[in-house]
Amino acid sequence: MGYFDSLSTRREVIRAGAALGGGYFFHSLWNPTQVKAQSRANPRGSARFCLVLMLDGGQSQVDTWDLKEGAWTPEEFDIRNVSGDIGKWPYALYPQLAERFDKFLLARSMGAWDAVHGRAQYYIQTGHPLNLALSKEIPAIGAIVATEYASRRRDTDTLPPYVAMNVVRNQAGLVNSGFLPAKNTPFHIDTTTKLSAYALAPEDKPDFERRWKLLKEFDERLRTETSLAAKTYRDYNDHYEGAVRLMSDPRAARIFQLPSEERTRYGNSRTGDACILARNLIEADAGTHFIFVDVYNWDQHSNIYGSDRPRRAGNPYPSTHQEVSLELDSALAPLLDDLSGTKRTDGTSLLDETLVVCMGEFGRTPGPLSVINGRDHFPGAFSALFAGGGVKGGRVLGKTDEMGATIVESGWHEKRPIYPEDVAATIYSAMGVDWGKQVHETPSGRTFYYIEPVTAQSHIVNFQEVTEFFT
Amino acid sequence: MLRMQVSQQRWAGAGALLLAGVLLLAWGRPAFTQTPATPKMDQSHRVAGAVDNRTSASELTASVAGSTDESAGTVARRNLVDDYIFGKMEADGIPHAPLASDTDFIRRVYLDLTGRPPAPAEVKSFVASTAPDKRDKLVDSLIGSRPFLSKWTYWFGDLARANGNRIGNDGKNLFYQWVYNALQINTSYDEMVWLMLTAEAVSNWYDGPASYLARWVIIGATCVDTVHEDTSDEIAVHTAMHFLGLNLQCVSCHDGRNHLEKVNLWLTEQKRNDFWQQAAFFGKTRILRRTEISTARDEYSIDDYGEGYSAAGESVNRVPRMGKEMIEPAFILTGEKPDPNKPLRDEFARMITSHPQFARATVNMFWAEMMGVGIVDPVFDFDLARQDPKNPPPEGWSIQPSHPELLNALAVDFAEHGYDIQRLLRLIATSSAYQLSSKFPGEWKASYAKYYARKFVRRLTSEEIYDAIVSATNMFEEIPIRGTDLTVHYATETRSPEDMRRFTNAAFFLKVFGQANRDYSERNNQGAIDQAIMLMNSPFVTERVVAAPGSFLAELLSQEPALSDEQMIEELYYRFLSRPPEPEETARSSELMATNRQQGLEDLQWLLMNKLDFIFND
Repeated sequence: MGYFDSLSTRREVIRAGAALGGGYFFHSLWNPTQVKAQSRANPRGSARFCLVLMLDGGQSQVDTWDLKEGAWTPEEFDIRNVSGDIGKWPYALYPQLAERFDKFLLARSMGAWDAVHGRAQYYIQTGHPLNLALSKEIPAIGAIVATEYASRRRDTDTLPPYVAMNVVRNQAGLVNSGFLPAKNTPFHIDTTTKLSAYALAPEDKPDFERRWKLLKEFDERLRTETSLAAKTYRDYNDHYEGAVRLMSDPRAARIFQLPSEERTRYGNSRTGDACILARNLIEADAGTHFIFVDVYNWDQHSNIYGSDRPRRAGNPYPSTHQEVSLELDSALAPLLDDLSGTKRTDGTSLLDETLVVCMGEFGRTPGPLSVINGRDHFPGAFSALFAGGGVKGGRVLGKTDEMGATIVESGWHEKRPIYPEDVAATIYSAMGVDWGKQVHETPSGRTFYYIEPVTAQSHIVNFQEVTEFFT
Repeated sequence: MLRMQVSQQRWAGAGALLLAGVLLLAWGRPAFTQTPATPKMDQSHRVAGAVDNRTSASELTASVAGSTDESAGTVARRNLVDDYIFGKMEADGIPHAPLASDTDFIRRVYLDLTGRPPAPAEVKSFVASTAPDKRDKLVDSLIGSRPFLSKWTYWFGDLARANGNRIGNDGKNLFYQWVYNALQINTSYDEMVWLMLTAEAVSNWYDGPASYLARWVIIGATCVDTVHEDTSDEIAVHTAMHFLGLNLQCVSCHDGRNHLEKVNLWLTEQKRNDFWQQAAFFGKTRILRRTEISTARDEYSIDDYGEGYSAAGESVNRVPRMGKEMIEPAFILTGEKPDPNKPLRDEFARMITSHPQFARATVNMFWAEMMGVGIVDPVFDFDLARQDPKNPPPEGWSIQPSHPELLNALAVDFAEHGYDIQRLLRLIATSSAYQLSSKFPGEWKASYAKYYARKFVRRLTSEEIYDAIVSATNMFEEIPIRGTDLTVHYATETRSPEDMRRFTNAAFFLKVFGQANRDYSERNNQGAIDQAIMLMNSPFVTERVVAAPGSFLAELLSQEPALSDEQMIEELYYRFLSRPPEPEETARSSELMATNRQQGLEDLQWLLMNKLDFIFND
């Protein structure tokens, strides 16, 4: 137990892997020799939307999508063998996903560079290491997609390009647009606040319109001053104009609603609600292309299976592994159903044009539980779920050893784990964004690489799209 | 598609670089001058490095303030600030705005010193007063007041990023209490810094200042001191940032040369080894998680039984060190080595607090908070090779401070008066420079901005907007301080942002306006569409627009004898905008109330919350 506890850095993980007899393929990483020039990437452009569900805190891979049964495993997990690559599956935790293996792909060879929440979560949001010297200028992946999609924005698009939901406790906060235009900064939504804020109910419309008209009148001088110097102020008024356009768009009323029968179908949870909104945003195709959802409470250092004490009364979050798993299952399954079942006029489904990425910032220590019946942070091997946007489902890529501690097959053309940078490249490629791009002369004077080839630990890695997801 | 920063400095000259040491010699106290200098403004003045706040702040000011017909007239030079600010404008023939009106001034100074707008009664009695020194008296009454202490304690909490995730609820609460008390008794700032830098503690939950260092600990997945040098680095970076205004992030990974030529001349001369020597002052410092069983408990001890700073130390967040030897400490500004008979951190605290740059960086930081833009801006990006007009940098570069002599004079004054923060804030707030109107007579030119020819306007911070709304409507939340039995009413009274977490709507409102989480996310005062939605239609606001029981509006409506429409309108204007309505505003507002009085007043409350002068400080 103490052994896994001590894994903190990539290198230590590598050593651990070697000690466990499975670290052989890390060699290319271990002795990086040269920078591989980034050639211009040829993005596949198989998706127009991307939905990232970040399992905030770090999902325990060995209790979920890379199940390793042990004396510690609760009987209630209802573990059964599935034919094919999946192997063992906890039917009690993911009963609905179990009926939809054809719709998604599991990657069991994920790796993280960091074992601390904030820095690892930053990686998921940006695909970059957290470098405090540059953190003011590094944009989120969603902000880059928003910027790249700006030229495709139609006059009728009223929804913001990048929407982030339920980012309440993410330690990295919500990474914004950095040096990119502020209009590509994430638009926050907390699904537990009243969504009627975003869409005017018919009965509220007259009041609102009266007030908006009055506001322009009362605030006329401040809002319409046309001198060159008034630009910043008019910019703030532009935010108001954009907000009113959004709120008045009839599509907003359809997007920002959570009917109780829908909520029930999606599991009556924050994450279910966020998935309903994500589905609505994608279906409406009204300007939003990137959606980030924070799925909270996977950081189960203690009492992971709830055997020590019951959930605290009034805690709005699910807390045990079973609860968070069921919540995710209940949200993800109907989402995949709805996306694949809804067709555009040309016959493509929403899932065909939406890349869904579901992963934590790292995994959790495998093997027996800690002395306080929990699992700690583990960046060495974990799992992620990918679906849609050209991803061929029904498959498992990568394989870990018996304990789930070491990756023994990477499952893709690189003999190394799939890192956050590779996920970012895969997202960009699917979204049709040239991920080989560099931006010179950022405010710090640096060159910004969409995919930075150098890690925080100075490893030089040929990060790239995981083409195997799509073929 | 990608916007380039207009302020990007193009490094032109390849000429000789100034040696930092030469400059530093020129920095001894005798080099500081108290005499107002009026040098010719460098026409090529450009600010290198990160985003230039000066441009945006001046745009902001121009946009909100508009212009005024009043003539600037002559403005009294009231203290050393004015000698330099107005001396320079006079020398260069730059016109400036007149003094702000009483109502503009009282709202401004309340917001800047206490984070909250003034109560209507305070505005009225201030405006009515004919005392010639009423502005000084007002400043005196605010400095040291409870809202003042809350605002600046919160501000320090942001600076130190004190957050329960990092230092535990007990840690953040005790740190808060310690800062609050220190400000209350007006502890000299060098002593506060000394206490934070030298704290030894069995637990940061029992020692207030210890949380300052404990907060920067870098942990792997383990509880033990495995990445010791990373923690030393983190402390070295943040102490240099907060107390010297220096950004050593870049040189904490690599030498400055061949990296920072377009950014910071002084940093091009700094090497990673110099940084290590600075970090080595914390090489023996161990910050240990006080736990044997879990990584989820944020209580730390601080002692000095470590082995020192090894250049071979592993890193989880920086470029590998690849060195072999143990690093000997040396102060990055002077090369001074510590007295081997004294504790390392005591020596570090002495060197930092006695160096002139400590006072310069500190006064600049407070100046920026009050004036909107630092004399050196951004405040944590000093370029020490571009400070002294007598030793100008090579061609293509300008002197970095807009007013180098003022910066030195403020620093000398601060040091000579015991690093007294309250005195410093008073000096700034009572100057005519601070009290200029944001409205400018005649045509405003962008080049005037660096003269502070009018007051910069700023958007209120997230917490200030929250506080202004709850206090104007009298609809407060009882905010429990996590880990205590206390409740507070204002966001600026919370100990850290997560205290607000249970109020979903309020917490979300604060986040949308750019509240920092004090973990990794920084404060963001940019505008965005979702902010407009929050102000127009979020439950946090709409619940406060209506005349709910207990609200100020309900109280206003039930007053006996009944108030006239005009009286009510005036009350609301004072509450939200700290001023009486203009005659046409009264007339237009009365029309709103003609058919349905309550609805009209609710509309007016909504309008006042959405008028841009409500969320801007001018």
